[in-house]
Amino acid sequence: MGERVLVVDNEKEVSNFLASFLKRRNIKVFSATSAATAVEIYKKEKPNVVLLDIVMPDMDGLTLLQKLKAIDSGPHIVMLTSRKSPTVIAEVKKLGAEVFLSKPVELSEIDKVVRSFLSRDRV
Amino acid sequence: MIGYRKILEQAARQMILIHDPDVLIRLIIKIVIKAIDLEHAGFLLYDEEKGYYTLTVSGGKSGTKLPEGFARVRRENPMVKYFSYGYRFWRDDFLIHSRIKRTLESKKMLKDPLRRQLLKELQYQMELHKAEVCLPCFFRDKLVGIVVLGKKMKRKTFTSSELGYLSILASDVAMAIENAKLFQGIRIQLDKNKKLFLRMIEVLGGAIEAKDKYTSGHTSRVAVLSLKIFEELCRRGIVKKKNYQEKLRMKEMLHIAALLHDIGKIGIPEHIINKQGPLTPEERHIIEQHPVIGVNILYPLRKEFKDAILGIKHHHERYDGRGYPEGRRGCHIPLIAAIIGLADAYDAMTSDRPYRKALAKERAIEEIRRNKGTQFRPDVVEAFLNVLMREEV
Repeated sequence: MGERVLVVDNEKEVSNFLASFLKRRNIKVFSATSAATAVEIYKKEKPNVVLLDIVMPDMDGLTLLQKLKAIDSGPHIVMLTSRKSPTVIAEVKKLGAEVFLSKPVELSEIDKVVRSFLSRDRV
Repeated sequence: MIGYRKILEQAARQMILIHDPDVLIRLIIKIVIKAIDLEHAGFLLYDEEKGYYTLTVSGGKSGTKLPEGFARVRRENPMVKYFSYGYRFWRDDFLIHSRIKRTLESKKMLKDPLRRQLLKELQYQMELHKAEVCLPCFFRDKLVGIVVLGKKMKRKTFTSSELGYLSILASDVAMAIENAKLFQGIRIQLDKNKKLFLRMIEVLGGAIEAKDKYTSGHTSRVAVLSLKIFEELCRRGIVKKKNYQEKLRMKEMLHIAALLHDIGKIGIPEHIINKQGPLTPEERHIIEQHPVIGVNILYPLRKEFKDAILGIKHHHERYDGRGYPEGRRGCHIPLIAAIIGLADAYDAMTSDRPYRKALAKERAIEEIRRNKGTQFRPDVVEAFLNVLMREEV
């Protein structure tokens, strides 16, 4: 299947950047700017890792997270958002996201997290 | 080559005029992308509160450019360390990706593992940021920002003259950012002082109320109403001022005049001010001196408060010329005075006085409407009625 990452962010600039950022690492990247397309791609393409923003136009990221985990609990979920209240972080972890990164983010953190998940899967 | 030099020189000149750092950085990034033909460029600005560098401004192709507000760089980041701690591998200030790569490939570097490690980390960081060149922006010895430049279009390499120009620009940017910050700080302080000043005036204006037991809260109510009437007059285009600054200035003068309009009552004997029952002609004459006494009190500030003093002096004039102290009529009464005159009359009617009870609001409004064109200036009455109507709703 190869390494597959799904990027979900309502801002096209961000999802475009992350897509090209990851593609350079020979990762197959899918991007979605709405929750609906995110669900669709998640079902069809079965990504190993999902980078997920909390703020989405059609559904909040927490509900989307729940939905994705209900479809398939396998993929690693990384929350990437500008919201950083401790209650949100706790909630996100409870719902099954493994990593929480807050924007603005150190780019090396995204890189390290994604790579650690992908290499873990390979083993 | 001459082309971009000109553009950059122009940019440097504009920097002096712009006091908002964000606008300034945006302009510079735009110019640099265009002049050197870059895929993308961005600026990492140091945020003193948060203690890290945020990518505040970026430009270029979507997907290639770094999204604004998305990326940050900590102080521990190797790029920051490289620039601020003075690790220097090269004589110049830049980090150039192709040069790092070349150096890492050369045999000489292998000898020093620590240097090799740092170079590798720098290479990695630059790749993450899609940077071909990074330039530090220093103000004195403070790293205030980092310019991140992407590749040149058509894979051309940066020329040394371009790099030279960019480094001059970077230090100009740093200075402009510091200036802008300083300017912002001054503006905030100025704003605070202005507020404090108006509160002081309010206190001073309120002092008269200690003497006149019936006028508690009168001055501040008159001030609030006067300012509302003024805003309404502006909305209706009756106050026509050439620019915003002038309008603000007039508003400030009105505010001061409204707060101090009765300051002259300090010079009137208490038994006359608080007298129950009608005043004798002499007593009336004495009380009618209060606008002029007010002018005299404020004499030391005659230059700074010129328009406010005129407002105080004439706030008892009448539109038909039967008021005091000068019996001015119509447009010869300063607008500030006409506004305060009406607000003062309305507040006096709707509060208890030694010689009578307060009128109901409706009766007072009726009274003002009836005296439109005789006691009160018509357009000010219209504005006043509109203010009240808006408040009802």
